[in-house]
Amino acid sequence: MTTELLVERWEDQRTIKNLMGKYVNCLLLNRQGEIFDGFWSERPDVSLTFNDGSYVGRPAVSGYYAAAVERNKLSAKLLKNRLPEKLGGRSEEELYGIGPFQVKPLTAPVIEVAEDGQTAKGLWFSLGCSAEVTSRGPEANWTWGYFAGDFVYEEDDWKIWHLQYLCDVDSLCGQSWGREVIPYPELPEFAALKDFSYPPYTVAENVRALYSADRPLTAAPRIPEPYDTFANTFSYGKAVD
Amino acid sequence: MKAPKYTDEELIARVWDVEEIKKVCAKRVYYVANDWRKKELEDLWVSGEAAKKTASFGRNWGYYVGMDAIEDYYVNQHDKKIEALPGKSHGDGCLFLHPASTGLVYEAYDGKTARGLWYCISQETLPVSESEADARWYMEKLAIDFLKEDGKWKIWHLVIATDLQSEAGQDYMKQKVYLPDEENPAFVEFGTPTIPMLTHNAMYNWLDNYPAPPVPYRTFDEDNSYGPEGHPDYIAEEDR
Repeated sequence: MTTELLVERWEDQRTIKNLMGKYVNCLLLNRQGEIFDGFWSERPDVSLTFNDGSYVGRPAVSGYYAAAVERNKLSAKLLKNRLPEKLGGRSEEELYGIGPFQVKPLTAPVIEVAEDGQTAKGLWFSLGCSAEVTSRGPEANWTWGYFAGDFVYEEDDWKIWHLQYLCDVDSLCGQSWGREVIPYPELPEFAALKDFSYPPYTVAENVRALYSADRPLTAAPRIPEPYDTFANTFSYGKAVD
Repeated sequence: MKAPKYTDEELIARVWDVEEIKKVCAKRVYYVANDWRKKELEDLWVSGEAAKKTASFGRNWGYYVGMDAIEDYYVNQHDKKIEALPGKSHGDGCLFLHPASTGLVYEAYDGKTARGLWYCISQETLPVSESEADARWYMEKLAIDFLKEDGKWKIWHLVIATDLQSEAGQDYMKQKVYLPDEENPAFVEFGTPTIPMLTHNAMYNWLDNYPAPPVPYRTFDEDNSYGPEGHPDYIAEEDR
C-alpha cells in the first residue's frame, strides 16, 4: 500500500472507533433518540441484533431507538411520582434521562477495512453495567458482551450498516451469575413498566443464550478477517427472506 | 532517549505496527473467550525455532519457558482440568473473559520488537455442578513482548500478573481475597512452571511494580524484557 493509502486506512479505523465511541456515549447519556439519524446508514437493509432477535430494515431499527426514548420518559415519570419532594418541580424535558444508566465501555477492537475502502468490520468486547428502572424499581446488572458491526462508507463518512450487541452476562449486581439469581420484589409504584415492551423483533430467535452453568462453551462473534470487498466476507447482518 | 528521525514512510509504517500489535492483543481476548488455546499458540505466538525456545508465559509464581512447556501447561494441562469439570461436553458452563484495555505500546526504534502493557478486569466462571458455577473476578496486568516474524507481530513473552481475585456476588470486604497458594485457583491452575519464583506479590500489589510499564527503547534486551531474565529478582540458572 502507498503511504497515502496507509494514512487513509488508519484514519478509517480511527473514525470507526470514534463512531462506536459516540454510539456508546449516546447510550450512557440516554440519547438514544440521536443514534439512528446520526450514526446509521441510509441503506434499506440495516439490522440491529440482540441475544433474542433482530430488527431488520430502517423502520424497525429506528423504531427500537424511538421505543427506548419512550421508555426513558416513562422511567422519569415514575421516578418523579416516587420522589415528588426531589423531582416534583421539574418538567418532563428536565427529567428526561433520569434513572437509566447504560455503561458500555469498548475494549479489544479488531477492525478490518475492506481493500476497496467501501465497507469495514469491527468487533469489540464490553465489560458493561446497566442501571435500569424496572417494575421492581431501579436495579443494576453486569452486562458482559460483544459489539460486532459492519460499517459502510457513505457520503464521506462511516456509518453503521449492521450491528450486533450480544451479551454473555446480563445479571444482577451483588449476586453471582454462576448461581441462582434471586430477583427483587415487584413494586406497585413501578408496575407501569410491566406494560411497556419494545417493538417485536423482525426476526425473533435465540441468537445467543445468556450464560448459565449448563450453557455449552459459546464462541465470541466471528473475528473480522482482512478482505477485499464485502461480497467476499461474512456479514454481521440479519436478512429477511 | 531521543527517537531517530524517520521518513514519512517509516513513520506511517510504525503507526501501523502499533495498530497491528494492539490487534494481536485484542484477538487474543477472543481466542481466550473461545478457549482456543492451542490455536492461540499457533496463530498468535512466535514460530521461529530460536524464538520458540525463549518464548515464555509468566504469572505471579514463575515462568514456563519454551513453546513445548507453554503448550503443556496452557493447553494440555488446561484441557485436562476442563474435561474434569461437570458437564456433558468440553467447556460446558465455562466463561473465560479477559478483556484487555488501556493499552500502552512501544515499538523498538529498530522496529524488530515491541512491548505492551494492558489492564484486564476479568472473570472466569467454572461449573461446580450442572446448575451452579463458581464465578470469580480477576484483576490483572497483561504484559507482552512482541517479535516481528516475516512481517507479522507475534507474542514472544507474556506475563499475566494478578492483582487480586474474588468471588463474584460476595461482599469483597468479607472475603478472604489473599488466599494461601493452595487455595488460590490461579495458583493451582498454574501448576509447576519451568522457573518457579514469585514475580508479583498480590499481597502488596503495586509495590513491586511488576510487570513495569514499557518505556521507549532502542533494541531488545532480555534484561529489560517480560521474559524471566527481565524480572528484577531473576537468578540465572548457573547461579541458582
